[in-house]
Amino acid sequence: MKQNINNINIEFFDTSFWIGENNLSEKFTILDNEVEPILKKHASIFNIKTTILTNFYGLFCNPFIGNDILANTLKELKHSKLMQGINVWGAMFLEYEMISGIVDLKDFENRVKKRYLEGFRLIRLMPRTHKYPFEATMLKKIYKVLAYYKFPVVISLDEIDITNDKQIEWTKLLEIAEKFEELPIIIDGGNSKELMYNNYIFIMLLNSNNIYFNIHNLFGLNQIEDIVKMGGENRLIFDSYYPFYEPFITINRILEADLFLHQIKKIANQNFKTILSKIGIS
Amino acid sequence: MLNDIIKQQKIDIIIDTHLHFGKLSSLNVPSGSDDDIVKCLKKYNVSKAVFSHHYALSSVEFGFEKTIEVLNKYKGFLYTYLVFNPNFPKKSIEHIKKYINFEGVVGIKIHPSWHACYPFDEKYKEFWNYANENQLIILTHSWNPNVPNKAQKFSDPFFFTDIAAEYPNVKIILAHAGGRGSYLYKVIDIVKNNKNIYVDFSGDIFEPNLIETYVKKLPDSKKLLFGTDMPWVDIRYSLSKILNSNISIENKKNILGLNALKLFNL
Repeated sequence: MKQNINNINIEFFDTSFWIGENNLSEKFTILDNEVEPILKKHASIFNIKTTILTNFYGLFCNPFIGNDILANTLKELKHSKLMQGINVWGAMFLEYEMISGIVDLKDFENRVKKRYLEGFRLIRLMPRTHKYPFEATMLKKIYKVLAYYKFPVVISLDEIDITNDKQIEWTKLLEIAEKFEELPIIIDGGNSKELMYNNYIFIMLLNSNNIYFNIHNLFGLNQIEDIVKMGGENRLIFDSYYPFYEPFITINRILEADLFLHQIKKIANQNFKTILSKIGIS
Repeated sequence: MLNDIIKQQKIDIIIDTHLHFGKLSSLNVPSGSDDDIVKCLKKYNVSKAVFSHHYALSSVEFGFEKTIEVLNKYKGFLYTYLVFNPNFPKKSIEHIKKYINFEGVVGIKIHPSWHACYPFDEKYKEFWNYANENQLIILTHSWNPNVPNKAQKFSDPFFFTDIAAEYPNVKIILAHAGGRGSYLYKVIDIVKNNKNIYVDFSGDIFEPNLIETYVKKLPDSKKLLFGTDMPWVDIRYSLSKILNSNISIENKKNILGLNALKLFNL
């Protein structure tokens, strides 16, 4: 069923590109002045036309400051004439002020709207690193607002593997999806070898409509094809996981997938574009 | 696409030196049958492949039986590592002696983490002696011990420097090049300083510029081997890693096939 895609221009939407100083590794640090040339290179070599940036400062230092720094980067990139034809958005971290401010729903709404206007289109939940709960009951007010606006969240398996022994509480993710059906939840493989979670992935897909999976760690033999066969063609989201991986690793895998062209396009860009198009903030 | 690169770079021989056949109780791979794996290998012009059977890692008797079954089914295309299980040293060695000269058997796989036993443990003693006397090729799992998975402590690549010195006739392949983080680079010195230690790049190791660093820091690329670790890692990732690396075509040819051809005398 594979299409010959050698001469077909497939556009990619990269939902995971990390910038800033990675406190654990200089090798994985992308300085501000390096972002633009790398994005241009990715666009010209891999046809990655849209990228969602995440900033290490928000991960290691402070979510609020990190979001502010990234907002500034997004602003500069949007004004750069060299970025013609390349779109950038941001993934923000849940700010502590958002959590403490949730007593006033309006305050939280306003904070999300402000970030939206700054170019953020995704919330990266970090319950383990940033020490907050992620369960449907514990974070219900936040999920309620995000679900209302259909504002997507991404959560890494590394972040919910609290005991660090691959015993992930998948039910908790399914509960969020069930209770907040309008909330797009993207599960990011992080550094996990996701093949061993196939049984969970299949069941999560069958039991929800709003759970999605990043592809960067779906390494297993035919794993992407098998997920598509299980009804997942609308639920897989392309990401390069740059700078941890070079983009050709995931790009080649998708271009070589034994799938129909329309399925490849959905994974490469359309599934996430659909999520973005539904965000109800104006 | 990948086949186009293979053609453009005139890479004639691709040998996958590290993959697995058979099911595993903890792994659900719907499109991962033996035939699926062979189909996938052939699609990407792999001319020969060396496997160890999942059942052989998990069961001594049954494992040998299944290994030979697969070997017979794909004769001339597949080659195999038998598996030594230190938890059944006597039985394991007996089976190895019985099957070692079987057509298509090219070496022995050990997996210290899987079997929860250090490779320098007394239970390995007879095995190492036998391997040394018979100049065997040993593929071992190797990984950074400083990771959350505690079982990886059994497979520290540094354990094999003493073993390689004590048993100089054995050729040891460190699978996964040390696995994670700084160990991926520490293994370079191990390969450099031990003439009978090789390395394979199988598994989910996608560190940017890793292949380039190995080629640059070693005198040549002759002890570097291509492996996928299928079904754990799809060949499309493993091939991309080598084909897109910034090394010479000659080095790519060595890594993808020529080194294995020579090492295993295939």
